[in-house]
Order: sequence, then structure tokens, then C-alpha cells
Amino acid sequence: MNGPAAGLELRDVVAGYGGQPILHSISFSVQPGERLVVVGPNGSGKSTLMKTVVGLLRPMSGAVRLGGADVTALGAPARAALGLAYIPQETNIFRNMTVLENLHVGYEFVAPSKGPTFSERLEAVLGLFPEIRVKLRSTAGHLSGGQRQMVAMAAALMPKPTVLALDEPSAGLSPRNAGLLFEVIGRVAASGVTMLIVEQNTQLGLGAADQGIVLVNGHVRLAAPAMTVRTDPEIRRLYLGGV
Amino acid sequence: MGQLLVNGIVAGLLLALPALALSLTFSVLRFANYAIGSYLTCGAYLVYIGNVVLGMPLWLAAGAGAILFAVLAVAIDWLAYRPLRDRSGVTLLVASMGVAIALENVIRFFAGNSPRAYDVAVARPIRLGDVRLNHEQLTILMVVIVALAVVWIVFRFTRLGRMMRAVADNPDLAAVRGITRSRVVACVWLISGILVALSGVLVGLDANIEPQMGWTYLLPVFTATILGGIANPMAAVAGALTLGIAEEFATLVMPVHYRMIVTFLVMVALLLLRPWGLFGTRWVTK
Ligand SMILES: Nc1ncnc2c1ncn2[C@@H]1O[C@H](COP(=O)(O)OP(=O)(O)OP(=O)(O)O)[C@@H](O)[C@H]1O
Ligand SMILES: [Mg+2]
Repeated sequence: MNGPAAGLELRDVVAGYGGQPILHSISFSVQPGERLVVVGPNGSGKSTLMKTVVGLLRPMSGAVRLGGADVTALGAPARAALGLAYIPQETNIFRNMTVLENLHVGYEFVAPSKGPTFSERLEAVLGLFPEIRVKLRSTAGHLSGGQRQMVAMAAALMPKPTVLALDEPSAGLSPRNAGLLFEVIGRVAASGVTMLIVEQNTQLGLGAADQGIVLVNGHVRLAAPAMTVRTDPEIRRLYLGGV
Repeated sequence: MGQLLVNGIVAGLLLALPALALSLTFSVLRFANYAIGSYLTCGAYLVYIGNVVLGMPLWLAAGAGAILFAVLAVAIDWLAYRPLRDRSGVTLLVASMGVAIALENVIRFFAGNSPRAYDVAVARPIRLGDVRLNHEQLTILMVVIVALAVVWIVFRFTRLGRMMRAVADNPDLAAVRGITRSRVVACVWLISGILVALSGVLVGLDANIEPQMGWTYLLPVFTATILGGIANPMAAVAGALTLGIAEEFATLVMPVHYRMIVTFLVMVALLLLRPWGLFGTRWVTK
């Protein structure tokens, strides 16, 4: 880890594309070491929220704070160097590079020079995902969907991030592999990494979280402990109905 | 037959460096730099200044000129292309046409229209059996092969190579993995600037140095690059060799000065049948 776990906070964030806001005044915070899961219907702005958090999208107004520091003005590379790792929803690997090169790129541009070496991190990450060890020399784009998801996750974990942003990590995985992936997510979280997770498998996602947020049409409909969000039938009807 | 093959390989290698440069900038910047012909001419003239005006030996003038031109390529990017970075590839293509015309006129203004030649000793061709290889061809062979090997090693095995390939593959993911795009863009212009300037010298050795020299190469370079699959730099080299050899063998069935038609036909056939290139399928985009 780059240091002690850092928290993440959004204050009145308005963001969108081409001057059109998609997110309307979003505020929430994730305490250091906590897991926050965002659920909501398709097109509600979950991925847009993630891109704003990691710095691929500049908010039109509002502030993003990471570990107590205002990072709103920083681009994605600078936020990554502060210990924020991200796995996008789509194309989350370098398809024309080998698995090993993917892990290398995940490590070398953000890992602190005083921290663990590449080979130490490689062993640690392969310990979490033993299935990809035999695939290290394969072109990443030729792997199966499930294997790619593992490579994406492994690459993001290479620099030992303090905050991890995951956009639909279980997409395309079999129920069994989705379960296994969330087991790994649980283990990573247990080591003190702060997590922001978008997940369409609400039972799995909310089951692994401390806090939950329901995002509908770019508004936070509800922010509550994950347990409450998961079990409340009214809430389930609300967002599953795609209001 | 052997002679044709050798000539074809040399012609192909002559195309390989600018084709590699074109494809390298395309893979990272997503626009086809139409000014590449003028870049080639400009590099050739810069080296001419070192070699003939300042009296440096050609290898020294070529090294200095290539580095100077690489810096110039970065400067052109800052002035002309960077402000348009978020526009479409077509806008940038048009901008690069403007750059091409501007560069060429600057060259004409200072150097005039008459052809010039580098100051090199004339040497007797080398004979290997019934195949003749003159010194210019030997120089082309060696310089291009060394340059290609260096670029390949940088691409495969270095941090800089991984940076460039990562941005070419997935710019957003590269950014969140800590790679600053503007730095990669500058490196790409430096490398392709060096490659194009060197190829300008080689073309100048093979023929003459004159303001039109880059134009003559524009169509074959684009054809070779598309033949390889435009976003895949190393395949552009294969495309260049294929085209060079095809042009040379075409002289068996048609007059020498019609060989440009071969390039045209290859280009048209490619655009109709395989716009992603002969070797382009290895680039995974699914
Ligand atoms: N690059 C873009 N340019 C313009 N509009 C976009 C862009 N990306 C997304 N949008 C729009 O923003 C809205 C929210 O998209 P977003 O991808 O954030 O939704 P999401 O909640 O992640 O959906 P899903 O569950 O399907 O992943 C959609 O209406 C979409 O059309
Ligand atoms: Mg999404």
C-alpha cells in the first residue's frame, strides 16, 4: 500500500459530456477502508460517476477529494500516482499486450520507488489470481471474458493502491466466477483498501459492501448502509423499476 | 531475378522508415500525417546544410540533422496539431496538408528548385555473383535494418515502448495507469522525426535532393502503411517490403517509369478489399 488507507469524497459534483450534465450535484463520502457500492438502472450515470472520480472526466462544478486532499484539478495520471486505481467497465485491459506486460504497465508508472518491487507485487497478485499465472505470455485480447476481468483486476492491484474504483467487476462472469471474484475483492478490502464499486448484481455487490448508494437519472436517490439498501423492498422496486 | 529482388528489397527498405513513422504517429494520435512527405524533404535539406554548407561528414550531418528535425517535428506538433487534438482525424489530416504546403514553400524559398546532391565519395558497386549492389544501396540496407532493430527493441523491451503501445492500445486506460499522454506524444514525434529525416537522407543518396522529393514518396508510403495495417507500426515495415518488391517485379511486364501505377493499383485494391491492411488483423480490437 502507498500509505494508510485514504478516504474518498465528492461534494456537489456536476459532470457530463459536451456541456450536458449527466450527474446532478452528487455528494457522498467513503471512509478510509470502507466499501461503498453504487447501484442503479442502466444509463443512470454510474460509469460517468466513476470517470469523474478517477479524473478521466472533469466535473463542471463541485470537488473531488482523495485522502483529504482536493484532487479536482488533477488529471487521471496524477490521481493514479496518489494511490487511486480504477478498472473501467469496458476495455479494461491492453488487448495487444501480453498479460505480463499488462501487469507491468499497471505497476511501473505509479508504484512508489521505495515500495515493494515488481516481482514482489507480481507474486502477491498471482497469489490472488492463480489462474492467470499460466497465461502470462498470452496476448491479453485473446483471453476469455472471465480471464480478462481477472487480468484487469490484477493489473489495477499491482501498484498496491489505497483506493480502488471498480466498474461492474462481475460483468460477463459466470455466477461461480463472480462469486470467486467477490471473494478476492473481500480479501483485498480486508487488507484495508478503500473501495468504490459499481455493480449490477445487487445482491453480490451490496452483500460485500458497508454503504450503498442508489443512483437514478444522475441523482442520488438513497444513501444508506448496504444492508438497508439490500433488504428494503420499496428501494428495490424503486430502482429496479428504472424510475 | 536476383537483381530485381535486391533492388526491390532496397526500394522497400527505403519506404520502411517513413511508413513506420507514419504508422507510429497514427497509432498514438489517430490521424494520418499527410505532411510526412514534406518532413522527409525537410530532413534531407537540414542534413544537406550540415554536409555541404558546413562541411561535416555525412554520418555526422545525418545524426545532427535527424535530431534537429525531430525537435522541429515536436515544435510543429505544438503549433499546428496540439490545438486541434480533440478534433476528428479529418480535421487533423487537413491541418497536416497545410503544414505540408507551408514546409515545402519554406524549403523552396531558401533552397530554390534546383536538385542538389550530398558530398560523398563515389565508389564502385559491389558484385556478389551476378547481383550488383552499389554503395548507396548498401548504406540504405544497413541504416534501415539498424534503425528498425532499434525501434523494435525500444517497442518490445523498454518502459518507453510499453508507454507508447499502451496509449496506442487504450488511451483512457493508459491515463489511469499513470501515463501522461502529452509526454508519449512528444516521444512519438521525436522518434518518427528521426526516422523520417534519416529516410530523407537515404532518398537523397539514392536520387537527388529537391523540393519535390517527399511528394514522390507520399503515395507509396501511405500505400505501404495501409498495406501493413495503419495502426500497427511493425506491420508497416512488412507492407513497405511487399510494395518495394512488387514494384520492382512489375518492371518485368511494364516500362520502368510506369511503376507508380503498381502502387496506385495496390492502393485501390487495398481500399476496396482490405482497408484494415494485409497484416492488420493481428491488431485485436474486439
Ligand atoms: N462518452 C459519452 N459521450 C456522451 N454521452 C455519454 C458518454 N458516455 C455516456 N454517455 C451518456 O451518459 C449517460 C450515462 O451513461 P453511463 O455510462 O454513466 O451509465 P451507466 O449507469 O454506467 O449505465 P450501465 O449500467 O449501462 O453501465 C447515458 O445517457 C449515456 O448515453
Ligand atoms: Mg456503466
